[in-house]
Amino acid sequence: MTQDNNPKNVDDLIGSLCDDLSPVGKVWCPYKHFTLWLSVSAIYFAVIFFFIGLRLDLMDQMHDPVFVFELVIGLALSLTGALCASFLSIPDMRGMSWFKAVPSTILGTFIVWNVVKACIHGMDMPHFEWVACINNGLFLEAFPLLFIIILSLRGKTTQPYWMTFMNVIAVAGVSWIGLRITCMMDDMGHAFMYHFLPVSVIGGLLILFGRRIFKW
Amino acid sequence: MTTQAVQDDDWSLLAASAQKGDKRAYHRLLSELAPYVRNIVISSLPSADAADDVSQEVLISVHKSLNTYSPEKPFKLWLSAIINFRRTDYLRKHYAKRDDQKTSLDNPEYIAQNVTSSPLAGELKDIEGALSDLPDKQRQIFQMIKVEGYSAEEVANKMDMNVSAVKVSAHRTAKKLKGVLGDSGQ
Repeated sequence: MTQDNNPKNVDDLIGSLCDDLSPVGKVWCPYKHFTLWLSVSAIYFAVIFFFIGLRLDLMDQMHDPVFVFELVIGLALSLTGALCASFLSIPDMRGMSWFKAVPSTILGTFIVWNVVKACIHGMDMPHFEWVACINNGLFLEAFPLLFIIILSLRGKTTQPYWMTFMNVIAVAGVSWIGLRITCMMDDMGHAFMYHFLPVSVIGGLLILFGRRIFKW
Repeated sequence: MTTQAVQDDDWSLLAASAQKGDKRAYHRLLSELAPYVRNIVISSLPSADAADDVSQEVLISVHKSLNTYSPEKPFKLWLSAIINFRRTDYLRKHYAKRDDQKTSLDNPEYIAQNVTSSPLAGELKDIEGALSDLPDKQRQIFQMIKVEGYSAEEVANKMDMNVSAVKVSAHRTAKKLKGVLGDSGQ
């Protein structure tokens, strides 16, 4: 394209875009997007928990503030990540770009919390085996991840890497909660190797492909 | 109210009408956006051609994402998110292709410094154009042998081909270029 023929090209382009115009339905409000993901994922989790079964000492654990704090931080991570992903599906995030800091900060807190816990209690790394927690984690993550990506694809993000990151955070949070309330093993080594590492690896790979996934 | 704010309100109204299918409003909106976008991107891109490409990409993106605009929100904020996205996308591709390390033979500074006989600059440009039309592999073989001075054996080793295939490819390319450049010269 040269500068001489550019005005003509732009006019042609504008002409063809105008010809192509038809009334457009507005994209979903981010809160609607978020609520739908949350409701459908909650139903899915209920079904998965029905099949996997909750840990036997769950009621006792609910009296342990550390356990409850870990569930709350997982929930906060998931909710804020999903909400942020909903805003990210709009090019300007409806002016909410500051909101990316919220799930990022919660993730930071979550990581620091686990590092401190590992320092205090120690962390014995188990030899890697394909244990039930990996299967359960994959079951817990697969559908919500696919669903949130499909919902995010309805919008037009201008920040594909952030979008993938938030999708992964949203799913990682619920997956963390799911594994904490189904798995009896509380030691850090197990939690790191089988609860945290698989979702981190899958998430990291997905983030690498973020631009391709959310290309438009 | 400032001119900027008036313009933003105006574009918001036009975009809202366009969302309902008003083609005249949409035409006006895009016609006003085209020079605005070009002026914004031109200072951060390597050439005017790049600015034209990016502005057109932005117009197409506006078209694709028109349903995501909310008329209650400032139009320019929404537009600038799209502009930054497309500009970054362009620059990423530009650097990935090492385009920043290439120069055009339209560049008078380059010609003054590197082309000893400036009337021949046009011919160099023709050769460059003809080469760019060749398939990648063929061009690579030709450049390695005829421009960079590799032997057919070295090229064969590098490209995992046999020597005679390399020689045949280079010969055919030279013949093809002769034909193309000969035709363009007539």
